[in-house]
Amino acid sequence: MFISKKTAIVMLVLLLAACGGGGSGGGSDTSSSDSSSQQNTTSNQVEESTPETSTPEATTMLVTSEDFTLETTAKLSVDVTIKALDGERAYVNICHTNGDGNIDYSNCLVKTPLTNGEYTSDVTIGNEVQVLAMQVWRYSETDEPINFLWQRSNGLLWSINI
Amino acid sequence: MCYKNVNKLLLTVILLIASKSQATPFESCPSEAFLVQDTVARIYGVNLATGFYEELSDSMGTSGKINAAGFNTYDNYLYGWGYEFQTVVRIDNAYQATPIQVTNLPGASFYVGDVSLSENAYYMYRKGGSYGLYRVALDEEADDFAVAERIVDGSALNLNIYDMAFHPQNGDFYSVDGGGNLIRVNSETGSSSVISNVDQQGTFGAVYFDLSGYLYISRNSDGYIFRIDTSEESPVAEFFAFGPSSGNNDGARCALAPIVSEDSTIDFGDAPESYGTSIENNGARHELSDDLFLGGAQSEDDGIDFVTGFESGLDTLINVNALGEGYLSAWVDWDQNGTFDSNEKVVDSRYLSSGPTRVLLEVPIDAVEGSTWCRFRYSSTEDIGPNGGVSDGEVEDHEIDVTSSGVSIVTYPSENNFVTLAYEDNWPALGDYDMNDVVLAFQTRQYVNELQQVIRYDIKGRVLAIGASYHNGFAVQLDNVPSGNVDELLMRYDINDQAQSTSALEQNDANDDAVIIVTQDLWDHVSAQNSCSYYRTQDGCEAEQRFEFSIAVPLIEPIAIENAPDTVLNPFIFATPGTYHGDGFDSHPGRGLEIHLKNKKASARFNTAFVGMADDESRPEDSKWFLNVNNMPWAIELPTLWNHPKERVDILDAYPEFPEFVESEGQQKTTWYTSSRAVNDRIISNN
Repeated sequence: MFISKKTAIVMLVLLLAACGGGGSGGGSDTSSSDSSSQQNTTSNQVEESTPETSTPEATTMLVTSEDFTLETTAKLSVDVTIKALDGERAYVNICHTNGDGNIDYSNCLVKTPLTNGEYTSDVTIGNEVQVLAMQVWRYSETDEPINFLWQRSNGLLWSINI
Repeated sequence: MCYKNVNKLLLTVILLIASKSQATPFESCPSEAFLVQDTVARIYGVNLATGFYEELSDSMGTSGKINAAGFNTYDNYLYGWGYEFQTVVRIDNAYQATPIQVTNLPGASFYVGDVSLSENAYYMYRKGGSYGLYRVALDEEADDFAVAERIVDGSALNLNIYDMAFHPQNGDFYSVDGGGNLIRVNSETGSSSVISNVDQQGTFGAVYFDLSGYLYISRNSDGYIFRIDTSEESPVAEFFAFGPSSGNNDGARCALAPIVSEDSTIDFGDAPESYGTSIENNGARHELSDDLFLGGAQSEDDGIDFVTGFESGLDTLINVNALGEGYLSAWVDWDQNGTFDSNEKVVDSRYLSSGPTRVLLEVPIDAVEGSTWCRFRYSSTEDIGPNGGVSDGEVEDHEIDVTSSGVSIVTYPSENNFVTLAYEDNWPALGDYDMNDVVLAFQTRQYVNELQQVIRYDIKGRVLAIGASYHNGFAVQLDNVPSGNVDELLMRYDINDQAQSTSALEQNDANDDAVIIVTQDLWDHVSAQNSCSYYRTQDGCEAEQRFEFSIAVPLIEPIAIENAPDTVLNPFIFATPGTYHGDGFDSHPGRGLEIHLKNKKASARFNTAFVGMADDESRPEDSKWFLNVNNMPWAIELPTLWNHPKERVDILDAYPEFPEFVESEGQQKTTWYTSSRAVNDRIISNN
């Protein structure tokens, strides 16, 4: 049978005591490169200096809030208005870019008809996503597509109004 | 597109020519066919699979024709009839013909011949009472070496044939006459029989066998290569490839070689097998060429961009990127019957020049909605079909979605990416937080109509690791979508691309949230190999086994997008019924034991008696689920393919930024899970 919570807490305290109260032992493995993490840190978020606290030795010691689900995504609000396409059939693709920086049609997040030149949506993206491309097509073999680029540094609102 | 390696025969031959001081045989039994043409003999190498051919030599040491050629598997030389020498010639690996002084010849030339596979002897045939079928022993040790022996006279064996080929197993030779009759001849007696009419007429100047008993016949007038399965009761000729045409054609081939060698460079399609993707089913195939293909690379399906959706009854626009001038043809399986039918050709030999071209297609109003396949073929050959071989270009197969008009498709995280779901399966007790008891790659897709209502979900994924001995199933709940609102009849449930006969919809009360059961037990699909205790969580145990799932879940009544579940949905693992799940339970907990992402609600089958046991601090009444006293979860979602920690490596030892991310509630170290943040020797790679 599962042990009671009281017993478990007593055991946890004993474990902590045995480990030196959750001290900083074993810190060498956890001293990550701050410079590299700074590079990938999103500019719309404020990176605080690392607080002077002891480094947890085990995930069992980590504490967080009950509402934080450890999500690693954010919602990007996409708001498109293209007046020139009002009343015309068109199509919008929101995709990742490939190694050449071009839109990658094998890796799209959203594919949608554009109604009256307008489209709004919240698109969920991983924290590691830095760039997205949007391409808007008329149904024509001769017209060039309209291109837009979003970068993380632009913030989480992608507003297009032309 | 997949491809196989380049044929090295030419290189071998060149090297051998360079070092030639005297006649030497071929090194081995080559898979390509030989074609001898022209009044001054030239020899070509032909890949029968694609029709690709190239000249091997324009100077064979003779001023005349060579015909009736055959490959001798006893000495690895080619043999044929030399018109200049008026006798049998032996052709070495430098393609030089040397006459053999054969006695007892009838004083005429021969253009039909081959070397037996069951004896070291050359056979040649000419119709007419003064000639017939002759055998010439090639074994220099034999008493009858180089003596022509008539088997039957050419009035008794009266055939209008232009080449012959010995079957690799039964010892008889075969040919197809001008009227399309497939003829089998017993070489010992000269008796013959017509097996069938193969439904193709013409002068078949080159015929060959492969190891499987397929007969290949090449028509002089157009170069078409047909394949005939001689094991069938009434064989017919199936178009196989576009080969070289010629007024004077003779073929030879080592029948003991497979038609596609391991070294050949052939591009096949990647659609499911029913569409034709292998040599066995005469699938679409192209000899790879450096100057004619789609996209930026020959070996990748990167030449076609579907820049608009496939909405039934409306046009769709595709962007084609080609290298080199050629003809584009395309097919879409609109009726989803698993084949490209003749009325499903959507681009018909459209001439393209190098660069991008936009092509507007019409999606039929009666196109079946859902996932289907299309095929694009690019070649210098016009009028090709959806199957068969061509000598250049590329084939690209793509899976597409056909929807009704106005439908948007939202893929999470994106079409080519997966999120990772990582579970500790010791709930309600704490585990070791290596987060690898169950690890899955997972993707969802939401189809939204023009009224902003969700009409269908697709889920797909694959198992990445199982680091636990407990048996767990995997399921996905559609929160707030009643089970009765799932259109079960139209669901699709595939495992490893095979349609499953069972329903993936769990049979719950119609008002309960719908639960899609991917599998009752993940261990049914993968296993610990060799000395590994688990699947892909230990050093030396990284090899992947295939367990991929794909499930389409159409809804009966569309749901307003603001009320519909989205992104990761509610995926969970559950204890496989009837299996042990730890000493904490008096009896096997079974389906009632569920482990979800933090604060994702349990299903109607969840056993609420487990709430609050051991380390669990769930409070369903407050919508707080699957968290411990520190508010830490038993399951996490990462937004990309994640390299999970090895067995018994705490996640914070594998990802040192994890603690700061957790304790800052996601404000710091927001990309802690990426490859560059990992301690490399503590993780198993999934990228």
